[in-house]
Amino acid sequence: MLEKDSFIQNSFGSFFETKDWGIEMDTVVFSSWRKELIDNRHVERDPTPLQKDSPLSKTYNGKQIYGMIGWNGLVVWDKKVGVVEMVDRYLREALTLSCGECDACNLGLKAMCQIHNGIIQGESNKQELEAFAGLARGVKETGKCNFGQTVTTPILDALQHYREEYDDLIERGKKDKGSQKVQYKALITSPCMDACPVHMDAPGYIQMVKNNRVQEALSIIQETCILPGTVGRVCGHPCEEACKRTEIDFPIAIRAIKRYVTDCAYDQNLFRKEPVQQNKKEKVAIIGAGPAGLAAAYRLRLMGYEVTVFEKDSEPGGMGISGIPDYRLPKNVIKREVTQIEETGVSIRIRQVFGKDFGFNELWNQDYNALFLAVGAGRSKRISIPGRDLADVLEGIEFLQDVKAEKPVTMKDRVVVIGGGNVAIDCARTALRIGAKGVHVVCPESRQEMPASEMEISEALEENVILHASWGPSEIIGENGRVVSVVFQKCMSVFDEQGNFSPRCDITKTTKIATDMVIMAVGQEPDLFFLGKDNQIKATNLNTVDVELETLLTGQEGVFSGGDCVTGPATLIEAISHGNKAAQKIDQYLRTGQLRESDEEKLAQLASKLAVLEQREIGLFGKAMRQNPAALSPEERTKTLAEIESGLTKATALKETERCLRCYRLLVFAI
Amino acid sequence: MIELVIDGQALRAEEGKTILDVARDIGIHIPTLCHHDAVSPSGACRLCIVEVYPRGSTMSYMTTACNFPVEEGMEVWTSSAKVLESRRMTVELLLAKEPESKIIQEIAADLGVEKTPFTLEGDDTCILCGLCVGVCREAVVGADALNFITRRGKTEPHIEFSPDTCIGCGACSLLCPTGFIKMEEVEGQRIIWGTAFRMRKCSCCGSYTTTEAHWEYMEEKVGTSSEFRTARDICPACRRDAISSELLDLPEKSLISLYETGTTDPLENS
Repeated sequence: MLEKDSFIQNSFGSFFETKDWGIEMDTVVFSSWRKELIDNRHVERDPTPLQKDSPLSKTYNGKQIYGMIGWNGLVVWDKKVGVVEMVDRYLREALTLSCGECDACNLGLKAMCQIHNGIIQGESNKQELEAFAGLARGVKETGKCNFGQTVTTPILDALQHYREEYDDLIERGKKDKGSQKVQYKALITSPCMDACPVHMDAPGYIQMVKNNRVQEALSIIQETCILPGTVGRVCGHPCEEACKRTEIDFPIAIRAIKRYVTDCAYDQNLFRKEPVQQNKKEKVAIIGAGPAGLAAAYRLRLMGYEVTVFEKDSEPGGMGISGIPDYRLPKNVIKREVTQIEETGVSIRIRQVFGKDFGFNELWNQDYNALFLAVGAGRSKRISIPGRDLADVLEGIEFLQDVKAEKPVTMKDRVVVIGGGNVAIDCARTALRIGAKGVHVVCPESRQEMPASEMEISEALEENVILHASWGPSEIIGENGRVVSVVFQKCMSVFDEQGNFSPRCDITKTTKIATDMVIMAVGQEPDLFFLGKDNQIKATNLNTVDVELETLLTGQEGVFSGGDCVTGPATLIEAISHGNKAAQKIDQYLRTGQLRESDEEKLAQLASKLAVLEQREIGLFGKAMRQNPAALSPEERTKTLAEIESGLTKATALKETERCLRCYRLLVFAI
Repeated sequence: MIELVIDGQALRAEEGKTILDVARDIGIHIPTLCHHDAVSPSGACRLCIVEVYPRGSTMSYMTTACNFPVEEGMEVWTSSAKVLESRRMTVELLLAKEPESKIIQEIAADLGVEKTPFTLEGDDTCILCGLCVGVCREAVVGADALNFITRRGKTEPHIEFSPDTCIGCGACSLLCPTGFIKMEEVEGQRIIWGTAFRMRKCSCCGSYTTTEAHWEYMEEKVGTSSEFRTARDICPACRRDAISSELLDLPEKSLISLYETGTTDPLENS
C-alpha cells in the first residue's frame, strides 16, 4: 500500500510554541544555492549579502530557519545548525524518494546512508569518507532520473565547503554532537507539482501507473483532486507547461495519463467510495455544486463534518455538467464523479437558489456553523451595441447549456461568434457540430492575447473555424428583425496600462461580416444578487466576492467563498484548489476559531519561491516520442458531438510513463 | 543516416538505433546487465553508461547507451576515465549486494574491480534490472504477470508476481541475469515463482514441452488450427523425426497419422 505521508508530513516534533522571528533572509552564514557561493563564516563585519535576484533574499515571515539543504545547494543562516547532521537527515529523506529503478541511485544512496551514519558515530576512517565522496559524485553522474542526478548536489557542496567538520569526525573519532534544539522538516515538490494549483503529485501517480497500480495512482490523484476524470479531460495542464522534459523533446502527457487512470479505475470498478462516519457535530453548508463546492464538500466530509450542498440547477457538476461541450467532456464522466462524492455521505440538494429559495438566516437557523459560497461565474457579460436585441443573437453560455441539455436549438448556416475565450471557441465548434455551415470567431484581442487555450484554438482551426483576431464589434445589422451582418472595428489594443480590459479601436478601419446568427461570448461574471441583503459580504470592483485570499474568508464571520465567484472565470483546477483550501480553512475555523497561517504553509510557500524550475544542470536524456491519445480526425469530429479524444491505451500509457524524468525536489529545513 | 563519432571513429548509423546498437555493430564492447534485444531498454543497471558530447557542445554528459538513440554530430566515448569510474562504482555497489553472482563477478573483473569498499544487505539476488517485467509485459510474451514495484514510503522496491496471469512460460527465468528467478521441472510440473504449473506431454515420446497454461495462452493468441494442434501435441524432436522419416518415404509416418495413433517412437513401426 501507499505510504506517501512518511516523507510528506515528516514533522520532527512540535515547533509551534516558539515565536515568529520575521528574519531577513538575505544575511546568510553560508550559501551554495544556485552555485552562487557566499561564505561569511569567517567574516566579522559587513557580510556579503545574497544576490538581489536570489529567491532566498525575500523576507520570510515564519519560524526562524537555521539551515536548508536541497537539490540546488546548501544554505546556513545560523551557525547553530550542524551541517553534518543536516546532510544526514537529508540523505535519509532522499533514500525514501529513490524509486529503485536504477542501481546507481538505489544502491548508491543506501551505501551513502550507511557510511554517513558511521561518520556521525565517529567510527569511520579517511578511506570511507573518500568512498562516500566518490558515491556522491557517482550517483550524480550515473543516476537515471532527474532526481538521482541532482540529489547529491548539496552533499558535494557540504563535502567541499564543510570538509573540516568531516575531518574532525574522522580524525578525532568523536561522535557528531548534533545541533541543539533544531528540528528538521522535509518538503518535496517538483516543477509540475509547483505549477499545479492543487500541487498534484504527478510524478507519484505516473510512477504508480508504471507499477501497474491503478488504485494507488487514483488515490494519489484524489488526494488533491476529486474530479480526476473531468480534470483528466479538460484541464489546461499548467504542469505540462512546466515539465522539464520540454527541454529535451515534449512534455509528458500528464493530463492524458490522469485520464487513463480514471478510465481504468472506472472499468475495474474501483470508482467507489465508502460512506464516511460523521464524527464532528458541526454542519457546513456549501452553495454551488461546481468544482470548488464539490471539492470542499468532499474534503469536509472526509474530516467528519455534516455537509450539505445547495445547487441552483437540476444537476450537480457546475459548468462541467452544463456548459463544457460533450465532445470535450461527456456528461457521464462528471456524473459518476459526483456520485462518488455523494457515496461518502455528502448531501446534494438541487434546484435550491440561494438568495431566493433560502438565505443566510434560514441556514443559521438550521444550525449550520460555516458556509462556503462557490456560486461560480455563470452569467454572461453583456456589451451594449446596436442590434444586440435582434432575434438570432444568442448568449454563449446559454447556447452551450441548451445544446448540452439536448434542448432543440435551431442553427443557421452562417454564424459569427464574438469573443476570444474558451467559451467562444466552444460555441464555434458546437455550432459546427449541430449544423452551421460556416463559423467565424471574431475577437478584440490579438491572436497572442486570446485567452482561449492554444489547443482549443488550433483544433477549432483544423475544423475550419475562421478566426479574426483584433476586431471589436460595433454594430449588429438586422433586416426585418433578423440578423444579416455584423460590423467590426480594428482593435489597436485591448488592455490599458493597468492591465484592465479596455479595448481601443480605430473607427476608420471597419469590416462587415454577413451572417445569419450571432453568438455573444464576451466573458462571464458571477451573479451576486444576494450580497448585502442580510449579510456583510462585499463585492470587489470586478464584481467578484471580496475575500481575504490567504483564508478565503469573506467580510462575514463563518462565511467563506472561493472558485470562479472569487477569481472571476478561471480554470477547473483553480476552482478545485479553492475548494480544497476552503475545506482546510473551514476545518481550522471550526476547530480553533482562528485562521492563522500554519508554519507548514509558510515553509511550503518559501519552498515554492525557491524557483523549482531552476536547477544547476540538467543531464542528457535520449529523445522519446510523446504518446498522444487517439483522436477523431477534424472531418469525423465535426459531424457529431461525440468525444474527440479516446484516451491512452495501457501500452501507450505505460510507454509514456517511461518518459517521466522524476524531477522530485527534496528540501530539508532545519528550524 | 546519422553521422556521429564513437571512440574517435567517424561513422554513419541508421536513425533510431541506440548508441549501444551502433557501438556493438562496430565491435565495441559495452557491458550490460539489464539489456536484451527482445525487450525495450530501461537503463536500470547503468553499466552501459557512456560520455557524450552533443553536437556543438564542449561539455560532456553521462548517459546510458542502451536507451539513447544516436543523434547527428554527437561524439561518444565508451571507455573514458569518467565512464570507467562510473561503471566501477556501479559494479562495486552490485558486488556489495550480490557478491556471489557470477555475472557480476565477471563484469567486475573486466573492469579491474576485485573487491568492493561497500557493504550492502543482499536480501535476495534480484538486482531489479527489470528484464523479467519487460519480457512478460511486452509483445514477446504479453502475459503481464510481473510488476516492478518502486519504493514508496516503507515499500521497498521489488518485483511483484501475479499468479493469476502467469502462464509459466519461463521467459523471465531465461532472461534473468543473476539466476534469481528459479525454474524447476519435477514430475510433470514446472515450478516458477513458487507456483506449480502442469506441463504437457509430447504425444509421441512423452517428454514435456511447456505448461498447459502456456499452450492455452498461445491458442488464445493464434487460434486453433491443425498446425497449432500438431505443434502443441508433438514435441519439436518428434516432429523433426517424423519429417525425416517422411522424406525417407517410410510408410504411414505423416504427422497427422502420428498424431492420431499417438505412437511414441516414429521409427518403431517401420
